[in-house]
Amino acid sequence: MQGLELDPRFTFESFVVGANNRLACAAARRVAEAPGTTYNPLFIYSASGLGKTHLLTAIGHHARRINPEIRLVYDTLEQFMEGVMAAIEAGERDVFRDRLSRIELLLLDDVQFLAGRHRTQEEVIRFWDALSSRGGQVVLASDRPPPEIDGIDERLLSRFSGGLIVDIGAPDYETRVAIVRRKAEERGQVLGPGVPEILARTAFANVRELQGALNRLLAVQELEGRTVTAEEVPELVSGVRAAARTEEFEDFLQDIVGVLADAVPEPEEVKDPITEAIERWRAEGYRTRRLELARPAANDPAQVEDVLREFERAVDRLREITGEIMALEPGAPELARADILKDPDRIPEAEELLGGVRERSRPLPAPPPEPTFQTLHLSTDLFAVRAALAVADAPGEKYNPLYIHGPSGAGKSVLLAALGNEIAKRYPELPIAYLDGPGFAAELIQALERNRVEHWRERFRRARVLILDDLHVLAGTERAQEELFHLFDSLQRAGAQLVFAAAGKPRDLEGLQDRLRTRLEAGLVVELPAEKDRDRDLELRKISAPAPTLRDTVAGVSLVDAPAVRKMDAWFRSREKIVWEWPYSNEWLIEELE
Amino acid sequence: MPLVNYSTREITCKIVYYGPGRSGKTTNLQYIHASVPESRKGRMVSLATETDRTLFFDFLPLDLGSISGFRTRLQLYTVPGQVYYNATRKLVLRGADGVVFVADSQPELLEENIDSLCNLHENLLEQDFDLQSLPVVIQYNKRDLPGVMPIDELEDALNFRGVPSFPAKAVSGEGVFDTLRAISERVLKALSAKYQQPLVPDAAR
Repeated sequence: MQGLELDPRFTFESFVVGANNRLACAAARRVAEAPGTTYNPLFIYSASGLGKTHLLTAIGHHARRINPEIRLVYDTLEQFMEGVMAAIEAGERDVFRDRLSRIELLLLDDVQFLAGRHRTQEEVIRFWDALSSRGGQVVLASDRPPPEIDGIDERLLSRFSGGLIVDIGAPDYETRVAIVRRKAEERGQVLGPGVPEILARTAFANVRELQGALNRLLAVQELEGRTVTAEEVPELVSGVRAAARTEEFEDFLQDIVGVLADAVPEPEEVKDPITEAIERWRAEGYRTRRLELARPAANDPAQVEDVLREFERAVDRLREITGEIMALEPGAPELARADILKDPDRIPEAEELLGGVRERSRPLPAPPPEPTFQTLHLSTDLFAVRAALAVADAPGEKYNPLYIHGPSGAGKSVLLAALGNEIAKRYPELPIAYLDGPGFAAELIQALERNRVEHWRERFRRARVLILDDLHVLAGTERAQEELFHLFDSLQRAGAQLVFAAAGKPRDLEGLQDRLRTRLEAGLVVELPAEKDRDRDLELRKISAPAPTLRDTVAGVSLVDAPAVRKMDAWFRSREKIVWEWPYSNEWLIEELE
Repeated sequence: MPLVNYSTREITCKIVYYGPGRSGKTTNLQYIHASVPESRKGRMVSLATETDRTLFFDFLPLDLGSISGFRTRLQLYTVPGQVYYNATRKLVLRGADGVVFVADSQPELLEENIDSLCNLHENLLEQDFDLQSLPVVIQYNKRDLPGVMPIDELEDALNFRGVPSFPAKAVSGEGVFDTLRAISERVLKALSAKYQQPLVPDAAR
């Protein structure tokens, strides 16, 4: 069992101790001084070129110096196992094992080659047990820690772990300087000022390469008989710098970083178009959720542009919507709905808001331009006509509501249209809604269909004059009457003038809701008789002359002749009504005097 | 044009090594490839003939990491130098952000250098490159060979536009990174000139 000769250069004295290898070195010394007593086995691992072999050999030297008789074997695992196998093949296994077991110090290098070799591992375990039972010391060196040796036997692992596992790191700058100096000294050479430092600064993969570079430098000094200067170092070592190329790249990178840092504005200032857009729209109060969601996904410029263009289109639409609402109704409460009008993701809702405002601001149905009172061929002697004229004089102040009834063809519609036109002419500021029962129902149905009843209501509530012809058509409808009822109340509260025309008196309209009827009856209900019955109306007027005052009227109907009163009784249900529905129009003028 | 993606914060620059056959373009890339830490380089793709001439192109992606908040990548391409591969050269040249012209310093190859340079100009013009603003550097390679032309003669013959030039021994790596550094810096500076303005697409402006 020969093993390898120990390299005489590798001693503890020539081993430069630094922070990277202090523990490994101390453990190695200890093992060399007292084999088999402390760290058994000692497992040293490190990347290649950092001093494993040096340390392993140094242990051998040191141990032999202390005990020249020591039975010591230094070998690589590879060769060692070859010997084992050869002995086995030669049938000398037991002899070999016996000899092995007498080894006092076994130094095995490159044990990482145990990887995957189960048979070898088996043998190692066997003779190990034999050796350690006699107190033999084992020192192993590997380029990786035991657990990282592929397919290593658990039993070996546990044996390794029973001792000490130490690693050797890469030397730090100071240690490298020390190594360079020590090596130069060993060669009996003096390095120029700054040379060890420059060498130590040059990036080498490991100490072996550092030594290679130093060797080259020392060779130049020896052969040329001069001292190499610090300036020459980079040029001289460049050949050894294959592994140092990484540094070349890092230098290059450093420079590029510098250029780019100057070239590209600071990240805070440079934003991608989407981030820019987000900030800009936010500043304008728009919601940018859609952009934020798109930002991580959009990475090609075309995609980014699409996202931005679409967003802008949405914003444009929102602006149009807002502008239109503003134009339609500058004080529209909808304008306060920034949550919708500034959110490109809620365009449909914004459209809805606009739709509402549009509905609300639709012009109210206007009376047909003809006829007017001037073109009307109705006698102003007729009570209904005079009532209409009085309403036109001061809409909302008298006879409110004015309810005109009469048979079809009596001229109710033309009277209403003329009234509407008259008011429009004299009070252009008053919004007039002029429509008939079927029209009202149709409008309502349309609003219902479009789900815009609210806005439709609001639209009609703006009216200050409501003229509704053919009210009787609504009798029997529920929803239309209900809407009319609410509209009625709302307009009346607002002081708007209400004028209705129907085929009959409110109480005679079948299907007219009570709440509507009472309200209608609370106003002035006046008949526009058919052509043939007009004489009666005129006759009534004659009876009334001379006109009694309103007070007289209230005080005693006696002023009026009995048959007429009886007639009136048939018309009016109460004295109170008589006051309001008194048919003598000239008497109503009295009210103005008060 | 360098691809600047602001949403993923990436800059990608394409640098093409141009030059006559066997001038050392692939060697440049191989040296760079060997020098770059594993984490920084992608797989070098090389399509070569049996005689080791570049058939299609070499491609070496380099990841320079995050610079000023941008993930910066260099894509190094070589073109096949042989005259008859012009279609491939045009293809590789498309979208280049910078060109390294690798010249062979040997006197007997001067003609080939000039031909290749003319070919480069033709192809650039054909693809509507702005020759004034496209970053170009020249590398006088093979300085390690005996009997090479002096640099000033090469300059007279090839560098009439006075672009930065570098002597190199691509085999040992000398001058390789100087060249790469110069072209990269120029490309990135050109990029910044382009992007110094607010980076907002026209539509949003």
